[in-house]
Amino acid sequence: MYQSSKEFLKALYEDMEQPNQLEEEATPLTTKDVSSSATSHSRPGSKGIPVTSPKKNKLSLRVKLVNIFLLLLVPFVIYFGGKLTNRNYLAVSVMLLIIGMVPFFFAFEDRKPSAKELVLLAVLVGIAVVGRGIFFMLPQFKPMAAIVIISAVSLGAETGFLVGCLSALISNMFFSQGPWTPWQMFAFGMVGFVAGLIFHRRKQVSRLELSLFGFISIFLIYGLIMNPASVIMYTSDVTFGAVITSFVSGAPMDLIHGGSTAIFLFILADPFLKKLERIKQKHDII
Amino acid sequence: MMMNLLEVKQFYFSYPNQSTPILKDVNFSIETGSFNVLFGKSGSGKTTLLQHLKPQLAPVGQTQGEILFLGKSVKELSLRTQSQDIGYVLQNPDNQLVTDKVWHELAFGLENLGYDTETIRLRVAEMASYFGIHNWFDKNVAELSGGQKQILNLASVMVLNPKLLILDEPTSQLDPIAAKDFLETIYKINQDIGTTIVMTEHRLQEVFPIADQVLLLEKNKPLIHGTPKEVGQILRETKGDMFLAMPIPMQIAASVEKQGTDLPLTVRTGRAWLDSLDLKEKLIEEISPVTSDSKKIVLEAKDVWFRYEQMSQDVIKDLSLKIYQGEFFGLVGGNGTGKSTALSLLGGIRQPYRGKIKVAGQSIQKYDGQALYQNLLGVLPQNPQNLFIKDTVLEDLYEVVGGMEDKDLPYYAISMTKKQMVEGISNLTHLTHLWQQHPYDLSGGEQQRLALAKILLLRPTILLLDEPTKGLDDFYKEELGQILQQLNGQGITIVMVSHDIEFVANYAHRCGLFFNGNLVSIQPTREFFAGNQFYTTTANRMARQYFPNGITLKDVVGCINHQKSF
Amino acid sequence: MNEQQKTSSKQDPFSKSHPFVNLFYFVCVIGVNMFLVHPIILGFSLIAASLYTARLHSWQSVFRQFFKFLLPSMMIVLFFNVLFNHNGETVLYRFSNGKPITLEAMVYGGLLSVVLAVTILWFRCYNQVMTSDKFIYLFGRILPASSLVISMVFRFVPKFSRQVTLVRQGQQALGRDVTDGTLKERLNHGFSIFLVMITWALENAIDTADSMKARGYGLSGRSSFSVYRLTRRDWWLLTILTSSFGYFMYTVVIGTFSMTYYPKVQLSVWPLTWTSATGMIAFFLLINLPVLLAYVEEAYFKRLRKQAKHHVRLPDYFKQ
Repeated sequence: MYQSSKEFLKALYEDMEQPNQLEEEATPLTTKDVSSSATSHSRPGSKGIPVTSPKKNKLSLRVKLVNIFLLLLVPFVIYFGGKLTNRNYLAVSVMLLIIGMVPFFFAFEDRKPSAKELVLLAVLVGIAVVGRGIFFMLPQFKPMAAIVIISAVSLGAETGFLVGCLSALISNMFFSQGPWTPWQMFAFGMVGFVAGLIFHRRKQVSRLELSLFGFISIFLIYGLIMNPASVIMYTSDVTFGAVITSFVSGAPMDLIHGGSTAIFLFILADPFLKKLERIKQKHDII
Repeated sequence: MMMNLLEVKQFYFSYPNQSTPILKDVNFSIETGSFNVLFGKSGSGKTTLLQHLKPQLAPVGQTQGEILFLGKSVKELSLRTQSQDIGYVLQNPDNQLVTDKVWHELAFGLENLGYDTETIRLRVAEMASYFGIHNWFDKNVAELSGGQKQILNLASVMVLNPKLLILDEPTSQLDPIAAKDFLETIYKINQDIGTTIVMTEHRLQEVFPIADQVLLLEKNKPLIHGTPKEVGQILRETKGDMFLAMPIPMQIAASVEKQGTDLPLTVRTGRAWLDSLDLKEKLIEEISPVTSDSKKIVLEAKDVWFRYEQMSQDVIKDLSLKIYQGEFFGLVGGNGTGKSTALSLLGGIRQPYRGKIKVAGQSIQKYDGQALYQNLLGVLPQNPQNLFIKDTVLEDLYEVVGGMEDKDLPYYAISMTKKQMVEGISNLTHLTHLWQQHPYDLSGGEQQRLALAKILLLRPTILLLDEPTKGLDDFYKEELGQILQQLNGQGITIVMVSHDIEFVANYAHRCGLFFNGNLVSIQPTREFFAGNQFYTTTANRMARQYFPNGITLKDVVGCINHQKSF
Repeated sequence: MNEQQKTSSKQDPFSKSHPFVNLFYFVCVIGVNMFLVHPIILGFSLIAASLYTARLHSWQSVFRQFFKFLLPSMMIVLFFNVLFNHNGETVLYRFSNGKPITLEAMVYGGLLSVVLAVTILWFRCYNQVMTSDKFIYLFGRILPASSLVISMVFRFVPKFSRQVTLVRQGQQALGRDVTDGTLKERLNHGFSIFLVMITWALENAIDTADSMKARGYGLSGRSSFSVYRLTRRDWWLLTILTSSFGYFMYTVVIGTFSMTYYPKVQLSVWPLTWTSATGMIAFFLLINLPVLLAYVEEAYFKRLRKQAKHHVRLPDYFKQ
């Protein structure tokens, strides 16, 4: 053992230390050819990444009642919200956003999540918040949407929504809270929710599909919410032209955001999902 | 006769998909109010056994036999009783903290059990006062030191007033002073409140003198238990390799005397034992250490100053240091003296604001990142996990050299294939049997070796190590020490920062004491420790009046044997 | 890193009052500010927001923020409104396609840009006053699990950030820092750091879950503890807030502060009546409550200090 290691070291450092060593075949081969088995292990799945699906939870009566109540609240809000102030679009939309988010949180509370679920959720949100700092040399490269999508693929639509929502909320708590917070929460939440709906039930997910979805979702979900939001927040009259202009002016930003999300998913979805899968299997969190 | 708090009877446990049980026929009992220490090599199932004492945390698998808590099977205890009566503190201080505020962390357990606000307020206040937490009660947990975090973990378990307190290597991630404080607190709890303690620990030196019962768990062997002295005696007679983990005074006495039952546990009793031997003073002749003048300087710091931010205090003050080719240099010193910072400066991770670092005769700034860290400088981070990226050990090793394909890489202009290289390094670092494992499923010592292997694949000629023995038990330390010696034998220069005086004394050629941002003394290891009064090895503290420059166990035992024969 | 952790030089007694009082105040103030576009109310709000921000940070930072961030965004808002809003009868300019630029749209756009600026100032105060633990406390009762998750995230974020630095150093020592190599390599190095970090975070999280379980998380009947108590002063503050807000809203609902912009700008508040004057006083009291509270407390302490000096001045014969 020692002998062979010593020789190995000599061979390894051959060009640096004493120039000529006598034996070339100093390599200690005590193990069989493992590289082939390892290769199959390591190849990133061109076939796809396996994902396990959870059991379906039933909502309790309490939550159902809350949801029905909220649903009934919608027309009421639209009617009276418009009358109360001279900024009816803003008032109505903010209230609708809140009504839209509440059921997810109530369903989560109602499920009585286990300690492991809570920790996993918190870790994912934490990663989404901190992720921003890692790519500081590329300021527009924000991995939050990608992490939300990956979480949703692995853990389902509802959890995806929560990860998105909480990531936006907490990220703003660290950077700056503003009138845009509810919109961002809802937008990231919806990105997660839709990703979960599309991909979570599947047995296999290919990373190409995921990164395509990532790119599109930034335009069709995130952009669809955030661009009109700026019109509603900052202008007096929400006109069709203004909304279109907001889409056009927001397009370059969305393009960068969508592109970076796609790149991120293309490279990271694979290993990230595997790591999540391992944690789920090892500690049976489903 | 008082009822035993805990009784373990013929307990077996095996993990799913594993044919041999990891715990086999375990029998022992724990008296109410006693202090018990469980020890054994890693992988012997210590943690598994502890987890079974609190079934909430027990891993899935097959069990047999029974564990009785106050005469009742632990499995029948309700979750509420388990949570309240059996406290559990884990190894890593950071991972156990759940909330962001100290006060909330303290209240967390009581909230779970549904106490009302008034009761929680009182209990939390009580605990904070007892543990001296009141000074940092309002802080964020992120602001605490490692030692404070672990005390907080302990307090937030003690707030439930458990009957049994289980601790799984609670001090392994702490520096020696914080570890000592923590162990004293545990002892205080045991003495003041009478809480029964069961802990695993590898600083046996410190817990042996205070333990009522020690339990040795070894793979495929019956559990041995008894008073510390009894167990020491058994180990000596059976020549068990766990004897290596015993307190140094005990090991010295046991390797000299062939019989005799009263083995010393502490330095104080060890000295008394030495006095009884009637020895003469003797100096060890030095087998000349590296003669530094003749050697080439490979790494040099010249009048280096460093601070983290412009407005903050200097961390490194006018440091000058020369490292010679092929030497093994140990940098020791207390916590927060700047030794890790010094190492990161030497490794080019941080830049001094004044002064110069030279690597192989050239300023470190002249190298680009890849030239510096490939073939030249290797830096092993304190936490090996900071290097793990893939899902198996083998993939993780290949990852360093850019995957499995044999492409030509600039730092790969040697006649070896990648495969040969990975295999050779795996052999050297004893990782071959772990290739298919997930890096995070490895034990602390194995993770440390994997991290070292990854660094070695870049063929460093100078290796910088930051606390490589942190959290390792004595076996892993010895294994690591031997690997380092092999590397050293190949001519690789090693610079190591460590709290672990014993390890440094055993392996380093020269040592430097770091204090207040600078090196206060640099000397060959033997002279270094012999010259220190307090900051020296246990063996030296015990035997210095007879053998002033005997610093390791071997030195002292050799000297005694030279004069005495039993 | 976190704005909430920076302490300002001055004491702010309002921050130390009960979280519910804080939240109630901000909901009222920000709500009024966003939904009631009225020049006088906005003016009041602008002054109060600047005063409070200056108290919590400094005047210097208020001005810096105003010129660096607020002014440009205000211009954009104004521009956008004028361009897309063609209501109003006073036409200033007409585009070739027949769409006009009107004075009314300009006035309204200008007001909206002030709304934006004031909202952002208020949110800045909100960030400083409503620390994470207050937020968690307030939602802990309605949403216990979610608020625990938020608390855990606040625990994890600093931990992860520290870890990112350490991982980066580790990768740096493999010659793979985010500043090494080509853009593609840099990006890859970024991904490596990220992967090491998430592996670490996920694997170590299990300990956290164990630690929660070990301390009984998941048992039924979880209670919620906090260090906050509603003191007598909190009740006083609440009373002042609710009554002033209530009265102000009453004056709003009866139309005292209504305003029409199109086709012609019309303010209903002028000439001053009893209701509009008292409504304004109520609003003034509402939005300036934190600053007023601070002044009262400062005056009180000044008096105390004076008294203390008085007591300490000993007769001369003691000095011998």
